[in-house]
Amino acid sequence: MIDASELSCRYNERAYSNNLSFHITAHLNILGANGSGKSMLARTLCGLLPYSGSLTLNRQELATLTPRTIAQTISYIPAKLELFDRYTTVEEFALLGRYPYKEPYAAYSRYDRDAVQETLTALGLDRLKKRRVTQLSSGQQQLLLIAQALIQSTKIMVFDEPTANLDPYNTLKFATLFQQLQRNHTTVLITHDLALVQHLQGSVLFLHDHTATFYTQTEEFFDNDNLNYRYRVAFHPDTKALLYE
Amino acid sequence: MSKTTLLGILLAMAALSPFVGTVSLTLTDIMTSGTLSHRIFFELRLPRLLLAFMAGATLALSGLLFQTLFRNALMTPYTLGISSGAILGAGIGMKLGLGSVFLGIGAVSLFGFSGAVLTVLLLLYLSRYLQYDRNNSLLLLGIALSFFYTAALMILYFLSSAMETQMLIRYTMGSLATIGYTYPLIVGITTLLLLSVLHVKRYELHLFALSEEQARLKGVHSERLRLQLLLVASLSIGVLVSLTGPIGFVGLIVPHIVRRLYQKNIARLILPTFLVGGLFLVVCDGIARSISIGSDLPIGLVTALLGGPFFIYLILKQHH
Repeated sequence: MIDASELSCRYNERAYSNNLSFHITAHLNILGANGSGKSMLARTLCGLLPYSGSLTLNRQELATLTPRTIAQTISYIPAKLELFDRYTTVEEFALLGRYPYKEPYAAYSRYDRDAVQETLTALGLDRLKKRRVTQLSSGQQQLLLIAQALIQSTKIMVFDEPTANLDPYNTLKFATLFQQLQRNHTTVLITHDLALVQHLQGSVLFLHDHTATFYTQTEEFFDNDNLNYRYRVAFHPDTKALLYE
Repeated sequence: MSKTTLLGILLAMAALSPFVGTVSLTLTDIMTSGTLSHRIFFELRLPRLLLAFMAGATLALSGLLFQTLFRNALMTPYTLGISSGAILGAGIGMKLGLGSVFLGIGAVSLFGFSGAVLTVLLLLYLSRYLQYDRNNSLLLLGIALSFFYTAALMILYFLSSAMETQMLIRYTMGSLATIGYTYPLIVGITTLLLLSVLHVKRYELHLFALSEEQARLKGVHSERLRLQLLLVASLSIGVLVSLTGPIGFVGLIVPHIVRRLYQKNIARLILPTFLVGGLFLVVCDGIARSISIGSDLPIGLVTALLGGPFFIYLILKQHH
């Protein structure tokens, strides 16, 4: 689905990732220290940043695709909802997910509105739909961002540090929802949350010093020696809790 | 205050506006053709009302657009240096002693328009060299240009006679004085162009209000769209400023007033901003003409004197 070969990303005259090669068919979890270029890689996958090398989406080079085509294939869920317009309601915010399908110059259709209603109900946001987005809690805002991405109905969903602003309860709720989403979507997850990744399927791309190590299964990455080498943490042999060095 | 009340008051005052001024007019006077009142109404007051409405609408719409595109609540249609460019152009025109008229537009206005357009072109040219954080850099470029223009204008003042300086100062205060329908027609065309473009692009603007990045992630050609919107708005502002001089405050406060009164997302604020902006300036102009009999109080003073306190009232009310 996504294939990268000798991919290098550059932004602000700073190289982020050099000569990465990987391919994503099911699920990819991207780990790495602060500043290792995780977010830059995710944004490159969504067509936001220039790159060199090759990056293909369904065998088509990403740089040749229009923003609209990319938006119909990949959705991006940022860590935090940022909005200049304070008066947007939950319903209106979710409706923006239908933009990639809207005819130019036309208004949103009945079908678009039904899709919004359906998704909001499914995620339990229905009773909040007339509220302003700014009145929601962080957990609810994140749920809304996911709702918008679902309404965008893309095969691939990219999550950028989804649990960074969540409390433990909401993190757990997110993990459950995320696993449900994985059944029908290809997911790319960027996170620092080792405990979250530990319970997820998929492969791991660990970014360090502008290059990357690819693990086909999460178990490989969570091998105690590797974990200790990468993050200077290890699992307690009995309790399986993460321990710091 | 509800939006219906405000719109009602504005409409009523706007309807009265052409009847007040140095000469008070009555409805029966203006209906008789051939009378002086008839001529004053149809050749001075009505064109002036139309010009004021279109000017207010342009300023308010561009304010709304610039505040959204640059994600900055303090943006005005003048922040990018477009009006300073127009003033400098007009100043050069006056200094050259150009009194000629072309298609009913004074040479000074044409110089003002050239100043505005050249500024826009310069900004667009320079923005090609901006790679990162374009919005803020463009804003800084505009501010730097404004300072440059202001300094150049000071040199013009310095070199000018007292009378030329006086003329230039009056131009910088803004004026809606007009005879006949040439000015209202020209400004009307650019205003309606701006209104239709914003209306057509309202969903894209809503996405821009999230962020430029979000707009791209949803499939908007953000670079292209930003350029289109900036060009149309700058053209409207350039035309307006060259004909009326800069009229302050409308572009800053009307979008905020409309936002607070309607409490709707930006896609649904475009028509209200057009209406309130237009009516607001018509009312301000009516007040300007009725409190200074015999002379024309600069319109920019009235917009600031009326709009300022009302703006403060709105902000305080929201925090209670």
